[in-house]
Parts: sequence; structure tokens; C-alpha cells
Amino acid sequence: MKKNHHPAVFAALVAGSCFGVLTSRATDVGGLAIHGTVSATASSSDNVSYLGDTKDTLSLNIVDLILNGTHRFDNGLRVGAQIYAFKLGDYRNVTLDFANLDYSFNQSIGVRLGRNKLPHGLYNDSQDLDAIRTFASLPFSFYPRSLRAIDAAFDGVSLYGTLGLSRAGSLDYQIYAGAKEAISGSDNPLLRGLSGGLPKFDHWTFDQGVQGAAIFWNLPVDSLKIGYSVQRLPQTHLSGALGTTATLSGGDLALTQMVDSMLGAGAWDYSGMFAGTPVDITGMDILFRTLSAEYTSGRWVIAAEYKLLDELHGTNTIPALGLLGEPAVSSYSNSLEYYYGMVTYQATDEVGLGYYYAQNSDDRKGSSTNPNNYSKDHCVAISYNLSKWCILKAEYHFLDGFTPLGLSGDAKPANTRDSKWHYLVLKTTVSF
Amino acid sequence: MKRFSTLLLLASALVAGTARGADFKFIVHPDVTVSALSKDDAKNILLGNKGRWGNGTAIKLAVLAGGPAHEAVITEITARSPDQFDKYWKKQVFTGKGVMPESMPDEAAMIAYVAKTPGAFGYVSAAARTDGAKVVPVQ
Repeated sequence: MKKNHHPAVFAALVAGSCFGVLTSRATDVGGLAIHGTVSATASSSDNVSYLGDTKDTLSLNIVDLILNGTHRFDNGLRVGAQIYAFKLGDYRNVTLDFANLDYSFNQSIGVRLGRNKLPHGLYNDSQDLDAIRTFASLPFSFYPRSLRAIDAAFDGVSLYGTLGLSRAGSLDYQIYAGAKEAISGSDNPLLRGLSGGLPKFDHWTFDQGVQGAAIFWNLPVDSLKIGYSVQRLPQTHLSGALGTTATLSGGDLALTQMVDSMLGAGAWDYSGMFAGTPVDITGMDILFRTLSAEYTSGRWVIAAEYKLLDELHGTNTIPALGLLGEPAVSSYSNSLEYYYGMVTYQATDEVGLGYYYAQNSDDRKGSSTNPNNYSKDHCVAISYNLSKWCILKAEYHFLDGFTPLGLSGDAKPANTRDSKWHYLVLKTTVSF
Repeated sequence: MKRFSTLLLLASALVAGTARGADFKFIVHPDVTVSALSKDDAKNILLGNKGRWGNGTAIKLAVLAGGPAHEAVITEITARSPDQFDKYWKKQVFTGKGVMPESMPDEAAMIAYVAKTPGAFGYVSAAARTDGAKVVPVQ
């Protein structure tokens, strides 16, 4: 079903948002500075659908709205909040992106309390800010759109500052601790993506919160910075239920057929012993570590990042599998690797050009030949500043491998012999 | 080796001379007690990293909407293009790390704002009259 097939709507949004608000600017309401952005994205792909129903059609698959209000008191205390509303494929949500109090004692130390954007790598805290980059999409697997639900913010405290290092440049740091919001709902793209196999997860909690730090060294060479970010999610917990035959495929479907042949037709779905029974992953320690570098020179920006994601010490508990002679409780660990290199060139005041290559693998040795376990992405992009507040973008991806689909909850193809696919993105953003 | 060091010193002096001879000057509210700023201080103020004067007063940053003085300050002090500077501040605002600087349509408005706003920091072209505001050299 092509329910998101709305190229005419996209064209109308482009025309309306850009030509109608050429003079838009921030609004000041009683000392409260109001800013916002609206983005509309249309995408098309050939081999698989990604982030919506994009296969063989141009689909208006993503719409983002950000509304921001900030006030700074005379003593320097700042209070700010931001609403983020979005449509991603057929999923819609409105979230409180951040709401915090910020006080800087001096250049070396400040504190933010409340819901804060989560600093990790170069762009994690600014991944929605289309107005600041040439690309319509950050590297899919490095900054997965569907992980935004848990990656964007946390509730807690952050210490930050800039330390002068004399001739060695300066050091920007942020150290944080707090809690992430639990995720629930089987329609959430992230949980849908994690539910690609036998378990269908509908709840994700972070029992012991989140801790981390991001440190960037601004080298004496102007506009060259390198950084290291670390984020730890101890004792996270995923829960759900075993899927029904209608939702399973491949080897999992073979398992249900075996049960049905042993206990009678429909036994998997209706006996009460299998489909719908609990599935848990508990005690999982998740560790993100990222190395980053960015160099800005004139109209050029060059960036590269390398990230390791380790999921350690998890325990799978699937009581139903005990009935089949399989271990009902088993240990779980995983290690994934991501990296990309990106270059952008602002050719004129209006036109920006960009290219990046991104790769990731579920196998750190990079030896996986199953396209469900890796992706390689060549992306070229062009952006055009229609005005200071309106930007148009076009972006083409040539991909090999399907790991982005797992994270977004999109179906991986049954036939993986042809692992190549193409993805076109058109996007417009208005900011004020 | 000595000749190389001398060349390096000469090159450094030339670069420093260019910065000092720029076509802009920084201005602050008359009550601000600083008598001079380092280039790093000016950069940190313009990027929002330094938010307070030495006596604890909050710094109120004002920027020009455009023009040669704006281009010179942003390029020479922050090592960014005006467009990159604008994007930097958008990022600060939308990630909860700052408030957009006050944008002044012209130098007259900039001088008037700095003159009347305690803690204010701004800049104008080198030739501009700065009645009511205090000029702070960058050393």
C-alpha cells in the first residue's frame, strides 16, 4: 500500500514554506526568544523500503517540527525548552526535546539541569538541525534516525566548560549523568526494528540510567578539533513476547512449523505455550565509544568518525524455548562497528556540495558476507539556500547491505542475493 | 636553525600585525572594567564560551547583521565564515546551549545598544564614532 505517496504535497510544502516565509525571523515574546524549524522530506528507493513506504515511489516520509523558547536572565541564568514533533514513515510523535536550566559560573565550568541534549560525537545533539548542514541525512547507521528516540536526550545533570591550554589550544568538555526515558509501544520504529526475529519487543527501560562524557580538543590550528565521546547504559532491559506465525519469517517460521507438526496445527499461535509468552533481555550493559575529527577551512568542512557499540553481559530469558529443549536462559553479547568520512564544500553563498562514505558491520573483523549484517553507503548531496531561512536539498545514496533497515523497523528483503540499493532524498527546511 | 626561528618570528609578527590592523574595534558598556582583551577572550565571547566579565557580570553579546566589519570580525577572530558563524549559533540555540546574540541592523544601533546595556559587548568599524560606548583594544 502506497499511503505515503505524496509528491504533490511535498511540492506544495516546498513552495509554501519557502516562498511564503522569506522574511521569517526569530520572534521575541516578552524577552522569550522563539525559534523554530519545519522540514519536509520525500524519499524514493528501488530495492527495499526505508524510513517509510519508499519502494518504487516518491514518498513524503518524514516531517519534522521544532519549536524552541529561550530566556536569559540578567544574572546569566538561562532557561530553555524545545518541542520536537515528527512523522517518520507511518509513526508520529511529539516529544519534549529538552527543558533545562543553564548557569555558567565562568568559562571553565557551567551546569545544566533538567532534560538535556545528549552530547556524543560531532552531531548527535544536532542531528535534527537540517539548517546547519549540506546533507539531508547524516550517515544512516552512524546516526540512525530511529534510535533518536533514546539517543537525543536524557534527564539529569551536565557539567560543561572550556579549558584554555595556552599554546596547545583549548579543551571543551561535557560530563553527564541521568536517566533516559523508557520506550514503549510495538509501533515505535526502534522497537519494531529490534523485533525482526522471534521476540517482539514492546518495552525498553534503562534501569540505571546513563553516564558519559564528550571531550573535544580544539587544536592550535584554527578550526581543527578532535574528540572522544563515551556513553554507558548499564543494566538496560528489553521485554516483549514471542511473535505469532503471521509476524515471523525464515528460520523462526520453521520453528513454529516444527511446533505445529509436533503438537498439532495452530499450536504455536493458540496453545498459550508459545506465541504471546514473555521474552526478556536483562542486565545488558551498552557502551558507545566514538572518536571524532572535524576540520574547517574556508568553504571546506572535512569530518570523520569511528564508533564502537558494545552490548555486553545481557541475559535472554525465553521460557517457551525451554519446552523445546533449548536453553530458556542464555547469555547475550554483541559488538558493532561504524565509521564514515565526510567532506562538504560551500561552492557559493547559495550552493553547497557534499559527499560521504559510511560503513558499518555487526562483525568488527569486517568479514561478514551476509548483507543483513553490514552496509556501505556512498552519498552525494547538493543544497541550495533559497534565503537565509530556507534551504532545499537533494541527496543520492548508493548502498550495499541492509543494516539500516533493521534499526528503522523496515523489512529486510527475503532474497539477499542482490544487496545493492539506491535511495533518493529531497528535503526542504525553513528555520526562524 | 637560527635563521628558521627568525623567519618564524617574522611570520608571526606579520600575522599579529594583520589582526591588530583590522578594520573593526570592539566596544563594551562603559561600566565594564576591562581595559583590553586577548584575541582568545574575544573569540570565546563571540562563540558564547565566555559568558561573564571578570567581576561576574553577564556578557550581553551583540552582533551586526552583516557588512564589512561583521565579516572582518567573524573571519579574523572566530576563524569562521559569517555563514558558519550563523550556523554555529543556530546549533547552540537548538541544542539548549545558548541564546542567539542580539542582532543589530547597523552600527548606530550597535553603539546605542552597547551604550545602554550593562555588560554589553559588540563591535563596529574602526572609523565609527562610539559615543557612549567604551572601546576595548584586542592585544
